[in-house]
Amino acid sequence: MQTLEGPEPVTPAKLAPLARPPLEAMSGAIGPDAAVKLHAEDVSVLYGERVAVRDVTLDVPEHSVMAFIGPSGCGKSTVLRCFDRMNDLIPGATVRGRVELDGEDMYAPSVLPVEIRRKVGLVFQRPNPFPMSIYENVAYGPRRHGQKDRARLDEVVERSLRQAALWDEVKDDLRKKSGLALSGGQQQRLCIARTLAIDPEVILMDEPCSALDPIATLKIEELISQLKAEYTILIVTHNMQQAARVSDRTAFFTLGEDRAGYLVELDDTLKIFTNPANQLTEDYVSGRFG
Amino acid sequence: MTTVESSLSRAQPGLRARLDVPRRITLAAALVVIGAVALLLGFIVWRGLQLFVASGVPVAQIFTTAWQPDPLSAGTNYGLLPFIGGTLAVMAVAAVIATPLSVGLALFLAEVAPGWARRIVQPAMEVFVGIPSVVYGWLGLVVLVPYLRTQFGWMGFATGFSWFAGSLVLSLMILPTITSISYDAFVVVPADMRSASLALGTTRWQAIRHVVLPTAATGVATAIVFGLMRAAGEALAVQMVIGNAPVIPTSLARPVTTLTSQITLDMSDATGTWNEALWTMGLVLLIISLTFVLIIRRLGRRSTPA
Repeated sequence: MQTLEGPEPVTPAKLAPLARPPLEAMSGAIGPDAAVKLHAEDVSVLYGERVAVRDVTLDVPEHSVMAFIGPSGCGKSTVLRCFDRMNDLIPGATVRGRVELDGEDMYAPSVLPVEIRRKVGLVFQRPNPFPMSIYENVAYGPRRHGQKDRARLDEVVERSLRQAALWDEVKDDLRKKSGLALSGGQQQRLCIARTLAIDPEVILMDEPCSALDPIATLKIEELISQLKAEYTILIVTHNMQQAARVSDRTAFFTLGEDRAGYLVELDDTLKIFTNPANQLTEDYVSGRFG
Repeated sequence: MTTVESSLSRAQPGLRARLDVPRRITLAAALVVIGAVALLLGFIVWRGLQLFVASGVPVAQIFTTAWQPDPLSAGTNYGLLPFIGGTLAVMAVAAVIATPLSVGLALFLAEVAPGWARRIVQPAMEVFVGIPSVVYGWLGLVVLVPYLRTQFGWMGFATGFSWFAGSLVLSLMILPTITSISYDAFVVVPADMRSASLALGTTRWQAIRHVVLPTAATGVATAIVFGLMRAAGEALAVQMVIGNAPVIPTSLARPVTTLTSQITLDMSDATGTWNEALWTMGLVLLIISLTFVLIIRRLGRRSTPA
């Protein structure tokens, strides 16, 4: 197995054994008529006076996986968090431009961030289960949203854990075992199950595998491919092969001369990795980036 | 491993001895403290038991209610129940008053307050701690007690000196203790946990109520016990407002007394068996404190595996 983030150019031939689904199947997976789930137009994020990322315009088609790649500090995560208004929590952060979910302005004054976050789930970089039982971790969201019926909760917990491919590993001590007693990879799948339990339409993942070993990473990637059928997924990753394996479309960000991140190129994943339009993208995906 | 070590010590013969110096200094400090605590405990236990050993007062007698300590008058009885009951009662009500305020303040500081508010409240808390207890007692004596007497006489505050006055003064004194320890318990809850809750579409209050509070629960419990411990030990301020009546506490409006205030009150007059009884009261106080220490340690153990 080749290294996950090697300096060699990534060619279709090298990707093929790892690709899942195969790269060929991915190209054109998104028809031009697919509905736009998320839309960003001229979005800039400022931390105080400093522009962290500027003028991002992109569309995410429904039921697809889009990967954000690019060097550290280029604003990938910042853009990601515009889509569930988690940037609102950072003191001094301002989002400019227009962000839409199903064609509606997410930042309209009448929209409450909590409503957005119920529709758009977020999986964090480091697994962060609550210090409570596996069951309570998954039931947390539905409970807070008013679900009191035990049978319904049991059902949601089982369904979410099955979807997150964790059910078989934890079904015997759902209520006894703390979420923190699981392995790192299991914890991350628990966090995914916790997100699925609130029945979101979009799932944002912020480098969800960066704290995991390769086997656990593979499991999460398989999961992403399965979840695509029902959800729209945005994933930030430092691992280019991961982007190639799981995503339909890839957005490449980098840092401009002005130290602000910007979107260089957005295209079908196959195109980004084999025949990108921009020289900067070419340099980055082929490992020639400083 | 061993070969590396031995070759090093051959190279510098004095090194091992010099490396040992910090260990010896710290060990000496530890031994001094352990020795002092052991001597203190031993002394109080030994003196505290003289009432039973030397004077032959039956142990059961301290669990009676009559306090007739003067050996010069006929028919002595060393019932400590009013003092034990008074201490526990004054302490408990003080905790009931102080806990919601302190935990609320700590939550405000840790979760809600903007930076400037924190910069005002934290020094204010330190001032609170720094005020000598006699000042609290004085304020209680000249402000609180007359106020209770004149405004709440209809509720039974005949003199103003009362269980409630003692508890109220104490609650102010333990407020900073409970606040600062609970604050620490709240701020160590990882920011990740709050974000995780918010990302699930919960409100900030839900995140606090269902994630921060349960996660910090043992820390908050520890804070309350520390507060109680401080309350049990406080003598001066309480003595000034409590009325010092050796009776079992039955009404918040009536005077009661505590172990500490009775010891300070009696220590200049007490001789012989009376004096021994005061030592026994000290021993009882020590047992109450040790119980709290045990509770804190138990709480600390329970929180570690999480």
